[in-house]
Amino acid sequence: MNSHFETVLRKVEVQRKSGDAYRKNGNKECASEAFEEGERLLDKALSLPDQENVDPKLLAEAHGARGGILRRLGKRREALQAYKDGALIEKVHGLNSTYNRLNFLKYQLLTGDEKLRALEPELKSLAEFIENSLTNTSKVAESNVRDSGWAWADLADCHALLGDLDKAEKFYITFIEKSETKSPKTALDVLNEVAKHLEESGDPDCERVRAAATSLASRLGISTS
Amino acid sequence: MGNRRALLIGIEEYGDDFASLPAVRQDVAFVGKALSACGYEVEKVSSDAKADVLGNTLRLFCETCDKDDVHIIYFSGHGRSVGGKDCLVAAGASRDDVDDLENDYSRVETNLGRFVDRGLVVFFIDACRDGAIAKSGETFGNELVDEPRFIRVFGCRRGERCQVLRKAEKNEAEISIFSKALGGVLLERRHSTLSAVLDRTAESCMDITDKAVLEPQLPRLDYGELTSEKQKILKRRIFDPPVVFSIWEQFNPNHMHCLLIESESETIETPESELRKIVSLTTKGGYGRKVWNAFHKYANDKLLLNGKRREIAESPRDPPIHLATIVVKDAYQEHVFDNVVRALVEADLVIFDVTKFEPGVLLLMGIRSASRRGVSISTHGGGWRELDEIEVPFNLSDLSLNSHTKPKEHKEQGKVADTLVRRIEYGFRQLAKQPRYQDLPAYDALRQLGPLYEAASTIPASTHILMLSSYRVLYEENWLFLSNEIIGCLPSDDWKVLRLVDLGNPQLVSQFLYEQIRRAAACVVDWTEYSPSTFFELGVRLAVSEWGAIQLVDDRYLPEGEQSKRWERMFGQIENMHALFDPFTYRLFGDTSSIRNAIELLLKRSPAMDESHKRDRVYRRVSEAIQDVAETYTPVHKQLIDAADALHHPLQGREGAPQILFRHSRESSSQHAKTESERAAKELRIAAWMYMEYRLKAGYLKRDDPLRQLYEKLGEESASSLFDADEGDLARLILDSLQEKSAETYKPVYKQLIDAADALHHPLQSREGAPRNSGDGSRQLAKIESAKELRIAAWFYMEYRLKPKGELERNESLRKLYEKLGEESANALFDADEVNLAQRILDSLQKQGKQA
Repeated sequence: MNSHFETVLRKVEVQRKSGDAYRKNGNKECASEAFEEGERLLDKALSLPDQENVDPKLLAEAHGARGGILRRLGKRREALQAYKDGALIEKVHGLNSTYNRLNFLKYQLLTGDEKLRALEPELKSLAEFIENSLTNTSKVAESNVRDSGWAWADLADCHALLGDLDKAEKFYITFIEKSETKSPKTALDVLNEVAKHLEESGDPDCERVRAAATSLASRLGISTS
Repeated sequence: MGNRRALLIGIEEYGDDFASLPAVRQDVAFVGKALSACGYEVEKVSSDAKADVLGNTLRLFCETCDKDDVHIIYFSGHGRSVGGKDCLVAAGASRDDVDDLENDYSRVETNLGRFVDRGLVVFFIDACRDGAIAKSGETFGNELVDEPRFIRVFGCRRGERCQVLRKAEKNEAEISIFSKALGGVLLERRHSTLSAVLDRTAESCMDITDKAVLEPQLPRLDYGELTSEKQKILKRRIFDPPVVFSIWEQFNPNHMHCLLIESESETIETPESELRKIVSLTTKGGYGRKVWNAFHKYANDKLLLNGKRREIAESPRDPPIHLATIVVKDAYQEHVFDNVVRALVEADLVIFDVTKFEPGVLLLMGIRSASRRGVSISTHGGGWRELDEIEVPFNLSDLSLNSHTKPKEHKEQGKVADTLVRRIEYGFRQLAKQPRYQDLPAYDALRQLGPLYEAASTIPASTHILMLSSYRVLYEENWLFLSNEIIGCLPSDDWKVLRLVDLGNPQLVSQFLYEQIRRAAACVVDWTEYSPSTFFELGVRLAVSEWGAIQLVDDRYLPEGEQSKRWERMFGQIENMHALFDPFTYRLFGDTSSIRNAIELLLKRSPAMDESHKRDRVYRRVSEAIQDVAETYTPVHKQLIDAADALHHPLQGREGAPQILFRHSRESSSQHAKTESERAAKELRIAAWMYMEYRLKAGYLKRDDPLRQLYEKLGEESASSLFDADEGDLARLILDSLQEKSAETYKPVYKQLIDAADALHHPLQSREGAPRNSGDGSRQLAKIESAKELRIAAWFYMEYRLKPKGELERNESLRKLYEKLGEESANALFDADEVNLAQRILDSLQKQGKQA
């Protein structure tokens, strides 16, 4: 089962990237086809029986990937649900990964379910959790979380949403150093999207997030789409 | 090695004026037993044999000695010098009879050299030489005998008596001192060359007389002037010392082979060494399973040069691990050495006891390090523990040494085996993970010489002669002497002999040294000082170069030389190595003829013309053995993928964990090192995929073929990285090709037939009653009929095509489908009143069910 999930995640990744490339070239139809293929593969995998035999890390990753695909298809509600499912797995199994948890919070903003201020306690708590897992030596020894660029990205995101730009920048730099070249751009795209949506929904804190995204992009030398 | 025969003569009773010799019976019995233990075919001459019988027997015994044979004659009795000739006194002879110059019917001459054309005959004579019974005053044993193939050894010196050791206990038999000493040394079987046996026998005689408070008695060699030829003969082995080892006869690719090389010094007092017990433990029970599991990870599924694939069982209850153990001194015996070299190459795991860094062990390590990348553990005992200071040979300075010294605390007794097992496990795991794994130096340095043609070419002797020797201060005068002498033998002034330090290369010693060892046509190795480093280098050289090495030694370091006492606890290996490799002997500031001979041989030698294969023996053995164990080169696509993964692993995107060094930069936006590693990995991956696509045609393999699965995975990863690099066109080309291959794989025939049948009329339709298609009734009936026929066709395909191939037995789900399909077909046939065919199908199902 684990190797099947690995394969599916790989196939979905390539479909997602294919879709992104089509979208960038303005070919929305083909982009949607690619995303839908990714969605189909994930739906099929996640509806298989014996999910309890799958490594929870892979399962959470599959929910997270599904959330990403659904976001690209404009299905924010479904994306929110996917992240929620992933977040539950992260919590229940005590995973170090916080990707779903953070995206669940972001998508509550994107769907307009919550205002940024209302989510502050949860963002603070999540930031605290990430910081703890990044400094907890026993955890580090167990899972090398300190080496994971994505943990630093999530921490930076939390601080960006909380308006602490200095910390956000510091953690983004660590993330950039560790991760693939392309990863920071993807992360900032989401932050921009959140800012844009907060603006549209008239969230009083939208400027804070917009400023954070713009400032970070300029400080980090990343051009956003 | 030729035949080994011994002829024993013991004469107890004589005529007038000769004392009877009651000890003779015991002498003959004891020496006979010892010679028999040394592998000699022992024959006894009747104790009352007359002179003519005795003479004929001796003549025939000498004449039948063939090339490579060693014949030993042993005599205990009275001897007599008559007319200047040393004779044995025949049984029953009186003194007058023996001394009668006209008649020789009661005596037999001891000079048998004229009868020995080939081989070697050694005559041990236990008879007095004090002249007490000589009427003429002539002393027995003074005749000049000077034949290289015939050697006489007397039990005492001129004027001495061959004494008898009186019985200390009532039941004890009397025995002559020389016979007791000789038999004892032979039974010990520690010394096997004639010179060593004689030296040890002389020491033993002195010990016995000293303890028994008797007159000193020293055996004497009678061999004329000791020419170099005779010296060589004296160094010849007269028997094979015992060997306790059990090297597997043939390498089995599905088993694990483990070799333990024990040090000599650690096994002198305790032949069943602690290390042997520990290593034996690691191959059995729980330890054995741990070792096996790690070995499985490395060796399973490896394809060997001979086309065999290693199938290493996963977690067997009793892992098939062959353990061969050999004490280093035994490894250098003529009839054993080739097998040891083979085992060094074949063994998946070799454990070297490097206690005291014995030269013999280091030479074998050199051979191993040059020929095989398996796991080799170097372990040190003799009281040394990890963290204690130790002087390690310079070219082994980064060796990770294990300690097998007994722990101080009793409760830590198991720790030694635990540590060893952990090292072995770790070794195999790393070997599986790291393509460049090394636990001994040399392997890569010998092979990674660069891509230029000249990089691996032979360095001619005219460029330089490579000298491997000790670098100790004490050796310096040898070097000055030798280098001068060698240069004097070279054909031109611009030829030179150089040590590594003289070559003046700034490169790491380990890199440069092994390149030279591999490439130099002319190599001289000086054994003097028995430097461990030199012997390690010699092992490497002998393994990798068909040119071999000219070996020299200062005569003070010969086994009998004054300096060899320093290596007393390594004497066995030194003696055996001398006998095996036969280095040229030189005398410091003395005669230089042997150096001239050595250099002459070095310069004129051409490996292809050398039929004796004395100099390239190890190289040839390694070459032969490697054919059965060497692995094929990693397939090109795998090499490319590994290189790509090492730069930028596909998981990195998901985990975000860094992979390359120096990823930090002043400007976050200009991360050139990282971008370059991702780009290089992407290109490597694309190259690998294209190789699989166009060369291996992996896309056309069966879906479940691992190569096909790798091809798909790689294609997707390549496309993924191309999308990241905004190279969507090529990414799509790859994805389209994957898609195309996916569509080209046809479904199995039975599946196509069933699908076609189901599409026309699904079996559930009858149960559910749901209409499949709209249309008139006759068309519907035609569909049902066609579906039935398709299903029958599918069942018959399974019955007559798949079943005989055994596919139903192998595949349970296929068998279940066959049964289901048979039942559905039979049902449909019953519905159509085709009872016979329906019954036939049911009978087949029943038969199949019983078989299952």
